[in-house]
Amino acid sequence: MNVLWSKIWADLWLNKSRTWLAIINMAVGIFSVGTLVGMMDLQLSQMDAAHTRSNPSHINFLLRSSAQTEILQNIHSLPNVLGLDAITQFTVRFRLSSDSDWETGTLFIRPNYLTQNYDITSLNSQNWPKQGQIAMENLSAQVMPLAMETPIEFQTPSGNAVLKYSGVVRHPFVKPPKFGGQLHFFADTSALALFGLPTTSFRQLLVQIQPPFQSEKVQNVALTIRSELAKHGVYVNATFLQDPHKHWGRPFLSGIHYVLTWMAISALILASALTYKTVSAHIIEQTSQIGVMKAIGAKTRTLVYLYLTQIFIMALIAILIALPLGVLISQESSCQLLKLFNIACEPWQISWKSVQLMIVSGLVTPIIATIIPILQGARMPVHHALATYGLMGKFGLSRFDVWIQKIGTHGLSILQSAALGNLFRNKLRFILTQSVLISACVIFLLLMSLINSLNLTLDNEMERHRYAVRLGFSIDQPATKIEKLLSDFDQNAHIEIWRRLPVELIKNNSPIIPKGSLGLQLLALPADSQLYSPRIEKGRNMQISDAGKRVLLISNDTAQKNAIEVGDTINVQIGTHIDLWEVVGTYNWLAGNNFTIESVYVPLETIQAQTHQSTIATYAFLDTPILNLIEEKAYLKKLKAFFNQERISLDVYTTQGKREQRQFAQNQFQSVIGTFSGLASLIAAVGGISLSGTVALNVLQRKREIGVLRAIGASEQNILYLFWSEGFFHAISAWLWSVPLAYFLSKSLSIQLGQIIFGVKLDFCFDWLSIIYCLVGLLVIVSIAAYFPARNASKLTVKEALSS
Amino acid sequence: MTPIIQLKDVSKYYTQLGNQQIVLDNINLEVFTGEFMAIIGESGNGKSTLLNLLTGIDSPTRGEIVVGGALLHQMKPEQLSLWRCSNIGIVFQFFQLLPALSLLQNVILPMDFANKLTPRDRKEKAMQLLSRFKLAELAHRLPSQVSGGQQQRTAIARALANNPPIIFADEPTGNLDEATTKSVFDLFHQLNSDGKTIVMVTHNQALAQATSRQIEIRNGRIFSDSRSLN
Repeated sequence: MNVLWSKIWADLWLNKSRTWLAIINMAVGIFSVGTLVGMMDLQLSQMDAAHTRSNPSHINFLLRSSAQTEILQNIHSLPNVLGLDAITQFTVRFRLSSDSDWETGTLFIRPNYLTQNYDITSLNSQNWPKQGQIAMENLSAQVMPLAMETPIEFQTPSGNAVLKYSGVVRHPFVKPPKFGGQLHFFADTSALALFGLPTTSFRQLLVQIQPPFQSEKVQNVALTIRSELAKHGVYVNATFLQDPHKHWGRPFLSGIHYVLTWMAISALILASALTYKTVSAHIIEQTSQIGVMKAIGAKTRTLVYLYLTQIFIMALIAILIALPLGVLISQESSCQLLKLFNIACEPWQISWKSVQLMIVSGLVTPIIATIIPILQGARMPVHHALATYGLMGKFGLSRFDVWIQKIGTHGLSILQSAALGNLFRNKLRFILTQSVLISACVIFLLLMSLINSLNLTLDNEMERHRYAVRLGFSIDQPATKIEKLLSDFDQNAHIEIWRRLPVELIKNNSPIIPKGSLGLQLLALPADSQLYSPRIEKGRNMQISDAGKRVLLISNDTAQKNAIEVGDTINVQIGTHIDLWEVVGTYNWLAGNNFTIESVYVPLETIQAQTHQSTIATYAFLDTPILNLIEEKAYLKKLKAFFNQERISLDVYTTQGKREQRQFAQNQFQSVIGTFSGLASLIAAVGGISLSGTVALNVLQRKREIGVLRAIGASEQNILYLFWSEGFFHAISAWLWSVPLAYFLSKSLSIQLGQIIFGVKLDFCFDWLSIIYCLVGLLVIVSIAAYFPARNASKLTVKEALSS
Repeated sequence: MTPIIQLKDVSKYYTQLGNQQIVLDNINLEVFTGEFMAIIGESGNGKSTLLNLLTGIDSPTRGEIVVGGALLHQMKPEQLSLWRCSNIGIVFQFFQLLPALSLLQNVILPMDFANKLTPRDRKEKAMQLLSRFKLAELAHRLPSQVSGGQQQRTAIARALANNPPIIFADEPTGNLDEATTKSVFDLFHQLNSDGKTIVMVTHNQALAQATSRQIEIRNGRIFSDSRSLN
């Protein structure tokens, strides 16, 4: 080993603490970037792969009522239609034993599970359902785990029938039960007769178009097919268009990934700052050695090579630590999110993109981050490098230092005052440490305000829902009959009847494009509805004087997308009628994500007059005193049983309690909030490491000072307290900066993040309580992070310290 | 007369890679109250090690050290810190004032560690010490804002903070110019006149000659021990 290599090795080995500190700082950055990028890459690639495997339909029509299979031929022969798959799905009531309560679920029936064309349902375990059998969807099976062959009792028109549990299947597009999805069952075509349905009917139509796939072409084909279906008296509840190459869940993740990308960049910058800090400290400590080496003839280039080689070695070790961890954690965390989309995680998936990024960023970033202190050190004049400064350093040369010292004399003990002054002895280190801590605290405060704003938005939305329970009927019902039944069921309930109709809005002879990808529905409610008022953005809500008039409310996003202003008149097609209606207001739509049917609100009285059908009900809303979720569930259960007795089928998706609805919405946000909390913890960990590093460097560089303090009588406790206090002042300073910064940033950022992540305009509310949590969190981080280096300092003997 | 410092058969060895290096070998020494003793000798002969043993900064491999009645060789590091705080004062070559504290705060610090007086009394006493060394007007300045001589005078004031009977000084004038060296050395003389026992390590033969007793360390042993007549 030549002398230069011996020096490199000696520097790394003899300063093990600092070497490890630098390696940990680098590893944190590499790990953060690798984990976040790997997570995004694995999620998207596995989602798209699962999507492609299911041979996704390009258009998915959910029909309002059953259609006869004879019309399939007509649809197949329409231009640009490549192929079709017809499915039947309907609401069923089931129970596990005669003692248990009836529950509602959805039953899918596909003509042949072995020859499926599109949205292929795959068998996860055991067998496909045959006659007398039923399979369960994977997510449902997780909620209600059952042994194979378990008998499940279903209500059918001819009485109760028992089907045996045959296996678990995966459907590529079902809503998870905790997001408000129902339990999903699968049966073969023999079940059609059992449930009183003709074997020649279907309720869902899957279509692929002729290649190449173009979204405009898909929209046109969808429009043509809807018209064809309408000719046969079949109306579409929702139309879902999907890209065959991109999983439908991508929009849901795009917001999260946007934030993750910024987090990855921030983590890399913060970690680089930490590395810079450690290497600068090393160079400062090496100053006299640099002087000696230069005095005996070392060139600047040699010194640069010497210190860069040290950085390179540390970077390699950091990569070796961070890479396997990053691969492992990204795999695990992406699996957690994939479960939400009903995608089984493939074992040992590695994101090569993230591996490459970890290696490149791991080698390049530390060198970029440290080149300046290394060059400064290597270029230092000999006389400057050889100068000895004792304990002095540069503190006290600026007015700021004097000011800080004066603050220290007011109400602080001498040790506290020393700790406060010590913070600013290396101002760059102070700034770097503060920026990491402030970032962690601001991100936490922003996150908490985002969560608070989400809750407020949900609360405000629920406030506008002044009903307790909403009933959706599978088939439209006579309103008077429903009103009578509900009055019999609950005499105290205030009842309101709404009607839903398929609608097309036309502007300048072309259909307007709604924000909601599942299309538009017309919701007719009393002009002076007591139980619901949308959140008006522009114009006004409907009022009693609108009854009988052709006025409507559309979503603000759709209005903006189609340049529609309040006061404009647009063509509204209901069935075959097209009339001019006036837009009196736009509302903010709390859709949560894109997969929703968007509502156009109109006065019920106008629809009744126009359609001459005054007594039709699609929905019934009940307002009755219900105190909590348990009461609500019990009330809804009784109500469902009551309607079942009356042989009126309730739609499982639209029959919901208000509190349950809120719970489901909150569950959808929960996964995002969980991801953000994980990120906040990551940033907090980086903050902790940064602070720990700062205190450790202070200890390393101030050993002599520790010796002096011990020599003049400082106890171990005094030293521990001094260094811990420095950490404490760092926390207080970071907190004082973070609170106003977060307050001013949080409103605009929360609203923007709400739009990006959830597609919702949030009602902002700053979370004041989180200021306390942030302080407590910082103090905890500081206590842990500063304790160990401070304890190490306190354990130094006077001799060790003075001889350093 | 009982000596204030007593070393009995004190040796200090270091073992490195299996080799034993003798730094101090069988030292016997007595220092009496009111003496001003200079420890002289060439570099690497054990002067600083001897001072470290006398101040409890280092412990002997063998032998007994009694300073002001305290058996240093039997005390633990934490007990030694407390002992140093109240019983001795140390002055270093590079002043070693804490840069983030004002001169006044630097002087108060040992009193804080000793926790004997009230905060108000500590401040009053520190001001008295600074006034005595003509530093009162600079009391609120930071060390970086005053000269080397002023810093060393502050360091001496700090050493006196808890009114210890013994002051140890390690090359206290090693980093000062001639004029400042003289004024600082005069201070030590003043303190000695006030009854303080002073033990000082120095390279400066002229200063050593101006003390009441000089011991020379050579090869880890006391080579000579002489007292001045003046």
